[in-house]
Amino acid sequence: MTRGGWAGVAVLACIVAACLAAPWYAQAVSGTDPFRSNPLGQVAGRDVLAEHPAGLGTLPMGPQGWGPYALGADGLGRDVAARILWGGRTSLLVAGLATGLCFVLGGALGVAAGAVGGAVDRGVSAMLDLVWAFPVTLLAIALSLVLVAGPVRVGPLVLGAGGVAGPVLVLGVMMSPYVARPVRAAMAGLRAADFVEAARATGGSGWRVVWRHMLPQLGPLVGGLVPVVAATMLLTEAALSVLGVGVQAPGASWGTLIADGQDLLHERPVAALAPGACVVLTVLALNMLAEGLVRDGHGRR
Amino acid sequence: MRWLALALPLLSAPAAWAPAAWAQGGTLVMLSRSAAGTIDPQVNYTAQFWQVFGAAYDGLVAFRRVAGPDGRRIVPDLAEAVPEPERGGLLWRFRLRPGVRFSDGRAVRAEDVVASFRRLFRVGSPTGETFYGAILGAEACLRAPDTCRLEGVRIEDGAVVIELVRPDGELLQKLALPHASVLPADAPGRDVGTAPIAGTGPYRIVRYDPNDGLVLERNPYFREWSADAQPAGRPDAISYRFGLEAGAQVSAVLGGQADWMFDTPPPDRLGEVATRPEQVHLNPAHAVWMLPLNTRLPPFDDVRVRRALDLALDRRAAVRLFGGRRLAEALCGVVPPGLPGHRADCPAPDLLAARRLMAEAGAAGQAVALVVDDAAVSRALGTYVVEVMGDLGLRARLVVLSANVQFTYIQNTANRVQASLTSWYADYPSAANILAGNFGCGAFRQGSDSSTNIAGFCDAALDARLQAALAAGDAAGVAAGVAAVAGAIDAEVPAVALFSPRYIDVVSTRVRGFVYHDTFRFLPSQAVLE
Repeated sequence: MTRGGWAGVAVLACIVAACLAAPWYAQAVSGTDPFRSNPLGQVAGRDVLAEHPAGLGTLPMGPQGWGPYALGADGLGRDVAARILWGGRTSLLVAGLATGLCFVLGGALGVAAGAVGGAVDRGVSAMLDLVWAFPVTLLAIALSLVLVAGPVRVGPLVLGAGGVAGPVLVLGVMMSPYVARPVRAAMAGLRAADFVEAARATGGSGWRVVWRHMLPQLGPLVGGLVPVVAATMLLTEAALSVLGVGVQAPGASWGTLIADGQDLLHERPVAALAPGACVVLTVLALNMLAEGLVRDGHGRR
Repeated sequence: MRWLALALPLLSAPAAWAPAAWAQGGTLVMLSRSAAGTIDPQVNYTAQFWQVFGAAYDGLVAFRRVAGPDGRRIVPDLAEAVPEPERGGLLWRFRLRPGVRFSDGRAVRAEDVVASFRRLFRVGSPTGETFYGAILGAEACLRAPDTCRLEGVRIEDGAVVIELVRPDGELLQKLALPHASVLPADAPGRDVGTAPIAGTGPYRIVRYDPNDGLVLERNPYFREWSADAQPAGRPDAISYRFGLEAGAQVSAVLGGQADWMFDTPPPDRLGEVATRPEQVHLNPAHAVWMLPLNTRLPPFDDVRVRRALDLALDRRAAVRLFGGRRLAEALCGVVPPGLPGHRADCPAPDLLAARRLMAEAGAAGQAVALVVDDAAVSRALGTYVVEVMGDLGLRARLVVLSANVQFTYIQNTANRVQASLTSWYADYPSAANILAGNFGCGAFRQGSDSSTNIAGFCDAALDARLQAALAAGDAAGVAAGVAAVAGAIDAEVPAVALFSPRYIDVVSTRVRGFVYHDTFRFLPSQAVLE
């Protein structure tokens, strides 16, 4: 892998480690519950949400440096830094699970279409076109409205308005064409490759050839796709949460934190900019990793 | 020397000339995020357009167009005088002023008044039942609007007579609202949408495009007949522009590109707005922000659970989240300050007592969904209330819906909403208006998106007491009766009142005359532009 790729890995590792340390940070550094609002404005003698000095509205505490309220308070008097770390856990979890679901679903469809060809290929391709044509945001809004009435059971999965299952399912399913398409194309190309023909000529059954000879060839493609798809998931989850149809309050993800911070953009911009910077940094690291993996697979350009 | 001849009179009398130039003329530019629907004064039920209708239409009577409590006084408008009721409050006789004309030049006749009241039912005015249902024949008109005859409004000896089937102590206030505007008899018998109808006010609507704006110009046939009811307009024209978000509206008004904004400034602009005190006006809204609790669904079908939540919530927190004490006043009953039935005492929250009530009710562990709209303030309040519900042992979750659908969603019983956050702005300063509109049996409709009794609270005996109170002959009797009903409703806690907000009006530096009216808010027709 290239040095850029390793840099991406290092940045990602730092972000993941910081997010995993969220409970410790909340207890040992912040000393507050990041999910408990403080509307009366006083936390351990600190004025975290004061009436505005100009006489109208309220003004959350600004950044305080290392320690409690390092990045200041949000509109409910909660510690922004502690919430960013907790929100990161949710964002990374949603992106990770959705990416996994996307690869399982999209990979299976792409492999089936590319390896079998014919009617199966045409059928799967038409279905992928259909999924691709449907806006993710619209589906998420529709699903959020359905979930208002109460949880919905989809097989063993229970979708609730406040959980992460909804965003994971929507993102995993709707993004599956992004994986299925290139996998299908690669498999279709491999079907005519000499070594595959040779494997078939020596009596290999259809699925054995796919499993033993064709799938291993997809490694570099999938390796390069995983970080790119994960980055897309992260961005889409943030967008859905900003629109209010992703993770629901009082839960936190980077997207919901950006949405909360929007209302403070003039006076406490860090409340929106900090989670936004986390999204940018994570996506950048994922893209560096993807670039590193792709260059490693195909040689330097 | 023509320039000198023109200049001399100005130089010789500057003091007399300057105020006159300030007092009239110019175009008042108003802003809002969006239009407010139909321009039909008998159909539209929004504070945004009622403000406009107040400058373009008149009824038989009007609220006096002045600031302060005097603005609640009913004065004759198209009628010559406010009549004394006859037959124990069942008959009202109005004589029209002579010489008043519509903006198309035609004279206003008694026939126009009768036709306007019939039209009110034919176009399905949203207040047809609640405000004008006591008029003789209204019941039949509500059942079959197309054949509405409305026998209770007729002409006798040249006067317009309104006959009721039961006394209504607030009839005059209801006649002063835009839904009772007098329109030409040949006005279309359907909602006119974007095509304005001729009116009698100092302005006429000349253009309305919901995607762009609304323009009012002077009504060429208007002559001031009563400075109290309908004073002459100050600006030459009023231009209402739609499409700017609240933050951009603040920038436009503070920057002088516009003169007034309808929407509330966003929370993060309040500090900036407050640095221009001469451009900011704060006034009571006669409104209540509250949490209707569904009295027909668990766990709030148990009054102890409702009382527990009422006891546990800290109104100071709600006021702080709304923007502080200058923008809101804590409420512990559903009637806002300044109206009969208002509870001035607001006890401190008592979580222990609340938990005792929850234990008695055995409601701990029950699931509750609180439905709020997606405005920043609503989300913040919802988050706080869900936390308090959790403190009481309920498994509470917050559901955030777009503001475009939340209000209709929470009204429909089919959606089985247990608790929600909403607000009610009184149509006119009246406690009865709030009580009947939110907790009256008539305001509850199963399966309808228009069921303003969101809590589903219905007590026929209290309804009867309210009607009886309104039928009292004197104002003091009405106030006492209404206050008693308000107390009885508060004891049942169909909704947890949080606070009463204040309107914040931001105006440009060139607006010198700002008149705030209790019912119509800022009166654009009375704005003096520098």
